[in-house]
Amino acid sequence: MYKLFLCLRYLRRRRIAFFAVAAVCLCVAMVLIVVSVMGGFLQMVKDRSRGMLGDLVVENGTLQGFPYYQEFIDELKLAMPDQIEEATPVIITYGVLRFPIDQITKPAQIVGIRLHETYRVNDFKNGLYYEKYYPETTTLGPWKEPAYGAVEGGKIALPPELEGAWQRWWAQATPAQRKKADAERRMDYDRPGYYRPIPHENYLVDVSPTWLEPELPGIILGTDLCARRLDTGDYRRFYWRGTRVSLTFVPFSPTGQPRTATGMPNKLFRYVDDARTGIYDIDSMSVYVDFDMLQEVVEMNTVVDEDTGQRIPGRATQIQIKVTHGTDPIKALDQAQKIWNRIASHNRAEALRIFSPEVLDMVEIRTWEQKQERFIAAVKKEKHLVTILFGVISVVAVFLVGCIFYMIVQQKTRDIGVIKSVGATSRGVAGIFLTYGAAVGVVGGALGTLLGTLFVWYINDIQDLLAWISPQARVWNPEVYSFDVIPNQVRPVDVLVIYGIAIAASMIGSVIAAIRAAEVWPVEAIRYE
Amino acid sequence: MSDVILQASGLHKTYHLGNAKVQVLKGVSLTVQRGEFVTVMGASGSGKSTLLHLLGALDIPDRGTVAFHNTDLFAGCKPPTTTTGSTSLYVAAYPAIIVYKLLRLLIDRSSDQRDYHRNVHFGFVFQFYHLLPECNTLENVLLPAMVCHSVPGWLANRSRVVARAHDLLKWVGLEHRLRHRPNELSGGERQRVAIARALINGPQVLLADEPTGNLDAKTGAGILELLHKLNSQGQTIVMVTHDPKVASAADRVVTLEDGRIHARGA
Repeated sequence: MYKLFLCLRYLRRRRIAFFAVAAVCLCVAMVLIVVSVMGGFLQMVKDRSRGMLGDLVVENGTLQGFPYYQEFIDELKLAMPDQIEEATPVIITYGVLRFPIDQITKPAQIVGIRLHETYRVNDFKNGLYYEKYYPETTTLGPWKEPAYGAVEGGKIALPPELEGAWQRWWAQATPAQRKKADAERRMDYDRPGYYRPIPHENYLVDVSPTWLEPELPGIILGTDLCARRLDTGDYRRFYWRGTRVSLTFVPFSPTGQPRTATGMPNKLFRYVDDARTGIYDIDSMSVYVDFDMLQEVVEMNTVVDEDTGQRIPGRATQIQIKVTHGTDPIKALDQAQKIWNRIASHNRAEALRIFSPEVLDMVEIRTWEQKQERFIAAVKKEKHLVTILFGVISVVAVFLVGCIFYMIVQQKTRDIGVIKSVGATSRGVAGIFLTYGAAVGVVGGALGTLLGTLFVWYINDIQDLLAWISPQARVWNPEVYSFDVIPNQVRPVDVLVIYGIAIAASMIGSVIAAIRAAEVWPVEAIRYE
Repeated sequence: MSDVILQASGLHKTYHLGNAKVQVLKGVSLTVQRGEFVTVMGASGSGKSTLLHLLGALDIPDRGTVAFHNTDLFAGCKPPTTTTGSTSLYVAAYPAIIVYKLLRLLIDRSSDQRDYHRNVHFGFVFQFYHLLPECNTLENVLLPAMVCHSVPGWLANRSRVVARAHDLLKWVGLEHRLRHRPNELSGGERQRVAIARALINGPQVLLADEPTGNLDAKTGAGILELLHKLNSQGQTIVMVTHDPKVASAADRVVTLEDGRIHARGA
């Protein structure tokens, strides 16, 4: 009983112990922050990778792509109806993006997608801005430019199709979603997003909202291509919805030869929406257009050679596959691989007349995790390395606890003699200081957990505050770290492990002092006042 | 049953002060009867406190025995030794030494019996009171009782033990000072607290080392009166003093001179 009593009494009365508690607290907070941020970073990499890719990915790693993708998709859906939810072809190529309105030109990764299939395969839809507030208005098909005007004697309104979509969204939105939308409403037409007014001298009075010609194919831009992130976490968009955008493409022949001799095709689009995956490298580079249109423009569609009469099958650079809920992607991968092997061998003779053998041979089916394996493994290693480094730094706390406890034992030598004189064993006296060490770990660990958790939860707000005080203090640069926000989740298992280690480390720190206390010879200790 | 409660035979004790050896006790023998009030007198450095510590199992003799109810308190004990050797070797082997010491601490039970006797059968009163400054009067008195109880045992017996502590503090006249810390008490009050602490577990022998040595004559007389009262109730007391006036209060006076018992008084 005396061990518990004295350790609690020393914890309250010995102010020097507060330094040990503070050291443990800071180290626990530091390690928890590092583990949480790095763990969150790893989880974000995984979540975003899966969100972008679906469960399985088929590709051959080339720009000219691979043929028989549609045969494969059809066969897949036929052979594995219970396991495959959706499969969609994708073309990924590169080109030049230009905004004629402000004459800005940027490099772009052009991604050809089938929009509604993509919605089902991955999380692309969740990252669309206008699609969120104006459901089913985002399209990669022909689109005109919406312009707001006035209805019913001066009330500002968008064209009826957008207005209706907005009303539908508002009717089913949760209070939190409505609050967020309210924050994004524009003053002039009271709706989220950026729209242009009707070009008319007195549009506020007597001109209805309308769609402006000409009709152009839709394009979805990566959010960071057309907007700037504000300190609030929201985006300030530079362009009206429907702004013209031009793309210049580089077609590749079936053998991978860039077709520059015939000139690079150029095409105008309308900006219908912007997409945010949360990965800066993608959001600042990618634009999304219709798959079939892109396939035709970059000459990857199925054609018949006019000279030889030979059919050249269309190509895609990637197939994204979503498996049904409860299906093991690895098992689905095995079956899908067999189907692909069958199709490849069936068409091999035709393919070898047109393509190099590698085009088929290099096709690989992988899970999203296997595809991102190297990146994920690198992030994992980084997490382990940083955790070890900060763990080593935290050993300082063990030494600090050791020094402080040694000082306490030196100061309390006489008291230890007294405690022994009333019958306490050496083991018991050591137990006082080991319990004391554990108590320092319990209290310091609890405070550190609280501090670290609060810090992680509000880490983005803290950074925004620091950036507001001094822009140079912004430590998380989205251009460097890929993600535009710092991960801010704390895993309970991390808290438990770190807390346990803190208690054990504090006890280890108190071992030498405890042994020293146990070795105090009572006669020596109480001889003088 | 014998009336001899403590029997010391041929006690030798030497202290090492640097390279010098100081032989404090040179074969001291002493018998204390149950209910006796014995005073050990002697000049400073004559070894009286050392003798008291050996009688109370607080220290270990180089040679000789102390029997409590015919049980040798130091059976199988070795006197403490000082560590010597190369410093660099010591530093290099430090982690191993720590582990060894920790294991020895966990395994070694050789001193448990003496610790038990000190807790249950002997009560110490020191010249400088030696109260714990972090604890109040009541907590200081309860300390030996806490030592002999586990947490569940303490929870089960707490009310009984606290009641006894209250009774003892009332008996020494400090019932109004229960929550005061040692630095808020006078010297006499502190010594009364120390007496109450020594009595909390109902010891068979009270060992008092110059209990009045740090007090003025009037306060010292009050403490002696308390000890007398205790002795009259059957408490065996061994007291150490250098003051003949204080010594005369005892049933028997033993004088230590040059590490030996020099004379015995009635």
